[in-house]
Amino acid sequence: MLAFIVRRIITTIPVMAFVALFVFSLLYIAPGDPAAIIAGDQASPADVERIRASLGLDRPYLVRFGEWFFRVLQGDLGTSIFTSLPVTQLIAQRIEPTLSLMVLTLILAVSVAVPLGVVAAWKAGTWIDRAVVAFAVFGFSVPVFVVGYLLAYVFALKLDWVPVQGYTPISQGLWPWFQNLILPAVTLGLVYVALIARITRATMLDVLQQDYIRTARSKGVAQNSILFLHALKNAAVPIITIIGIGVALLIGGAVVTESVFAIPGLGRLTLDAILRRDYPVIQGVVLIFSFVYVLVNLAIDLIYTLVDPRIRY
Amino acid sequence: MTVQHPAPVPGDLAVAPELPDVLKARKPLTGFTGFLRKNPSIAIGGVLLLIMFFIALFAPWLGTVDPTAISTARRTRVPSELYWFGTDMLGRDIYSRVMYGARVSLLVGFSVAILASIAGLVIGLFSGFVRWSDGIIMRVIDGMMSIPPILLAIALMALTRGSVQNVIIAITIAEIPRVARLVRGVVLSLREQPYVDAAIAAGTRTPMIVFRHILPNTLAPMSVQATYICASAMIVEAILSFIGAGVPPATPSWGNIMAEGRALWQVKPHIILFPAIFLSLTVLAVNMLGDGLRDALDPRMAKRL
Amino acid sequence: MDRRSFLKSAAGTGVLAASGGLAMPALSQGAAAKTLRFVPQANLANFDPIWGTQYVVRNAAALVWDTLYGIDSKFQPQRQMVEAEEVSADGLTWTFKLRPGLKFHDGTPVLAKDVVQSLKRWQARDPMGLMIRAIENELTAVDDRTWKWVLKQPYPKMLLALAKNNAPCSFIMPERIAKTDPFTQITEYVGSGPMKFARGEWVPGAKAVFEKFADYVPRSEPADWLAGGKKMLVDRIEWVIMPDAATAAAALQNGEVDWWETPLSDLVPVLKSNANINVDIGDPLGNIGSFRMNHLHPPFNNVKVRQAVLTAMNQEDYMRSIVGDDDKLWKPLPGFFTPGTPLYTEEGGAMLKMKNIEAAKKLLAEAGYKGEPVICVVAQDMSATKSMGDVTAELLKSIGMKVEFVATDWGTVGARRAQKTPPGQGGWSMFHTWHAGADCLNPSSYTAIRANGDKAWFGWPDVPAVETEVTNWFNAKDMAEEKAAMARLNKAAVENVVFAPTGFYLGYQAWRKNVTGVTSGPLPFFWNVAKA
Repeated sequence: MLAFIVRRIITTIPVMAFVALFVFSLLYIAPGDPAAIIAGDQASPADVERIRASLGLDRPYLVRFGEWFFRVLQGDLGTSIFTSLPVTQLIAQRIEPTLSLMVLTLILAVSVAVPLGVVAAWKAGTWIDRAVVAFAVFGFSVPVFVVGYLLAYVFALKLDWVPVQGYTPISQGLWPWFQNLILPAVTLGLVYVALIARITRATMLDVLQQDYIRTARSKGVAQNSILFLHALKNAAVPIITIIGIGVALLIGGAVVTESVFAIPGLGRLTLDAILRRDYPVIQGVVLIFSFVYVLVNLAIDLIYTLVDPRIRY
Repeated sequence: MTVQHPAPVPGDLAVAPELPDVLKARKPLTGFTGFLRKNPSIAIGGVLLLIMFFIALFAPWLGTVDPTAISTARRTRVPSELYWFGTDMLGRDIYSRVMYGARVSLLVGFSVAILASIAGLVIGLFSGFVRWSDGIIMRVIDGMMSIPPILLAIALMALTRGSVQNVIIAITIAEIPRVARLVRGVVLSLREQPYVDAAIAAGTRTPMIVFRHILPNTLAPMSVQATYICASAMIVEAILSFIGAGVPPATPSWGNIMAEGRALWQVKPHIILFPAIFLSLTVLAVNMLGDGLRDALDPRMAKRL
Repeated sequence: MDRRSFLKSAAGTGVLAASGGLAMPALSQGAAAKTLRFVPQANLANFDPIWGTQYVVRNAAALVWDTLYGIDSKFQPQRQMVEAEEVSADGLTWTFKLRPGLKFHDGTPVLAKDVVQSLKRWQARDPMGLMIRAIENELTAVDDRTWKWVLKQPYPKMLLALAKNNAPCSFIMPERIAKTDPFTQITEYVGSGPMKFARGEWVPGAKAVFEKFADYVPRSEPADWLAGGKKMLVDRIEWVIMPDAATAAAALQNGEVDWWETPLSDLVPVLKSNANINVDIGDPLGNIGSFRMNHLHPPFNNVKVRQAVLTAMNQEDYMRSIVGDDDKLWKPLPGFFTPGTPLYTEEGGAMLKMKNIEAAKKLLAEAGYKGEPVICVVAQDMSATKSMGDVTAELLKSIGMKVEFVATDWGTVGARRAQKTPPGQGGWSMFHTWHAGADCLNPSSYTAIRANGDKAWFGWPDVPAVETEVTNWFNAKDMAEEKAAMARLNKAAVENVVFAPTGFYLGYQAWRKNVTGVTSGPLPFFWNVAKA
């Protein structure tokens, strides 16, 4: 087991290196110029050139990449061009809201979606099943910002139950934190509920159609929850897999959700950085996202062994 | 969409009479209509999608006006007899923009689905068959997959200027790794199958194996995956517009109509409502088609998706 | 108590009393009374007002750093940090003396050497500062509170240069900070203004916090824009950055924020209908919309092609695309300078009133336009440039020009507009922007109107007639001379189409009714603003 973890961590190194090189190169060929944005409308071309030089943006590509990469290895993600704050600090400021949003979304989504999917599979072919399937398909079909606006309009503006926007750190109380996050989490969670409910239903159907269960059911023996839980356990691997894949989806969706609800998270940091060409920030955030993704997948591989004793490493 | 027919049976061959199917109580449905009745989601999805294609093709003849014509004297009008879906912030006719917008959304959805499928198929097959390349390709794909697709698409759009073509390319690049992974998975599992093993042992050349055994078996999961990519590409197009990195406004797309009207959702919800309905219906249609296809082709495939 | 705070406390006592959720709502109620929550026009992404010249940086900096002089609502420079000044009879030696008792936020007194170093850093980056530097003999501290500025020739607009609100303003920083290279960002935000910058709470892109500086000594005169006594009536100002206008509007309606600097005009009717919200014009000096054509390359190197565009354009389309249906918010602008200000002129502006597509087509034919594509670079992430870009694309099509629309973001426009290469090779033909009306009162800080070819702003117009009049204005001895120079300047600039003004527009600001003392001005003034 330990050997497996070590091996997996070692294999992620080339992956991360590729991501680093890819993102760095992508931004290098991007046409924007942060120096021009900083200098503002009144600046002369010579001023822009001087700012560019002072930021070190005029140096060759490989030199910049080499320097950056070497510093990253030492845990230093560099300094933001615009704010002149360390990238690690900017990321640290933003981690809590994004993490909170993702965790709450995950909890909400899983606790709604898995039962939905299970019920749909159990009652396959009935109107309950159809309703769940319809809901799942619908959840996929509406852009996340449309959902966000609708929810904000009804629950924040009209009913006045929760704030429209913003984020309250969890250290200032669980309730204010929850009030601020519930709408964004539902917004972001809709696609995710759809995805998980649908996979759960499909997998459960698959398991319920296995010969031994079919036999048992046809004999009328197994209409009880024990067998049912047994089936769910057998269906767990694909469900967990999709939860893992969904993390990437969540990160992407967070960009939009954070904009709609003015949450100071990593998604908005990335978007702002891309629009302003704040290279070190973009590189840092993408590296972090990739790292999280890789870690989540590692965790999922480990969870497999817990839910399915047949899997061993 | 291909329906597999059984191979014709030579006339002189004795065929055992069909055994009565004890499990099926109903009369089996046959033919195209039967297929549709057995798979209502394909029928509904298909009809919806056909309507959207009709709208896209015949947009100029559906009572539309120039979708880019600006008239600042008639801004943000609510729907009326004159402007069926109202007008936007520049006084452009939303009905016309929505009708023409069908072209962009469908073009983006289907182009991305086709391009990503082809590229993913080639990469997946290569990786699954050329063993030495597998390690490298999979690391690259892992790397690409670890970047959230929307962020990747935004970054790619920052590289270029907003145009339909660039939106398609950006979303395609973000989707390729998923298809490649799927195909590689299918290839690896098929390689273990006895008949493929036998073919390899018999010295059949690789291209032959690919065409005879692998491709036919990949097509089913691929086509289902393609419908989901198509649906997700249309949504991503809208999100790119929302962020300001999408199709330029001179080409109306459902995404950019919504993106432009979003600030006014509270006062003029119609601007965002109509394109949202059309986008949702289309994505719904494609998703239903995908679900139907999946069920029809192989119910057990579901867990791989 | 509104409905939600009731809900909050009800929930706090009833549901979550055990979990520690109770303490917070009560606390935030108390704290909210003295905290002003403000939604600024843009994100405060950096905080060096000399290094970065975005308006939003200048607005935040005006809280933290004080200036020697401040402009008042009559555009007159008034003493602010300065107690008195003296200019020699020949106009060459200026001697300034600081008010007593001025302190920086770190507790150290403001000294003449701090002022001298700050002015030196500012000079390197400011158009007027550069002019002074070109004619300066020395700028030195005499004693702790006195410094002198010795020039080679008189500079009558000295006080205007030190008082102006155009970025970069001559903010005074401690010497050690002002020693930073003007092209490198400062990393310490210590000023002597009425508010301190709470650096630890700064989340760029989301929030910036300012706290009252207890040792600030306001002047005794009443506050008037940047002049007079800057009395802070709140303890804390939170800038909440909202990327989404719809969200900002909802937050203001719900009382989650107190003051929104730039509400979208289409949302103003909703805000006005809310009994708790006041709406009024924000900056009375407004903005001038513009698009610039590249004078170096075809098709716009031909003055007749530029004139054709001007002849065809209808400023109403541009203005409505930005401000919506509210006619109080815009004016046609047959010229380049800010309406309603002393030097405003419409001389020679007839071409901008024609709106004649046929005449434009004729001009285009005379110019021998051969269908060269117009590469129109438009930033989609700025609502004003985006709307104007859409209008321009239609305009150019209507007179038969071929348009290649490059939809991109402001970052790319910023880089691309600096390219002098032909449009087909990475250059450009046209881009859209806007200028704050406060920058367009006269030529002193109006970089965009200059037409000195290579040295001019992007587009590089080369019109000697314009440059002559700029010089004439700087050397003008009285108002009549200034006005005459400006009239000739406006005429020459229109005839040669230095750039295309798309009209003059204003914007609203909106605030909750429990906030008092909000005034109209070229930047939001937080002094004398109270919150009940």
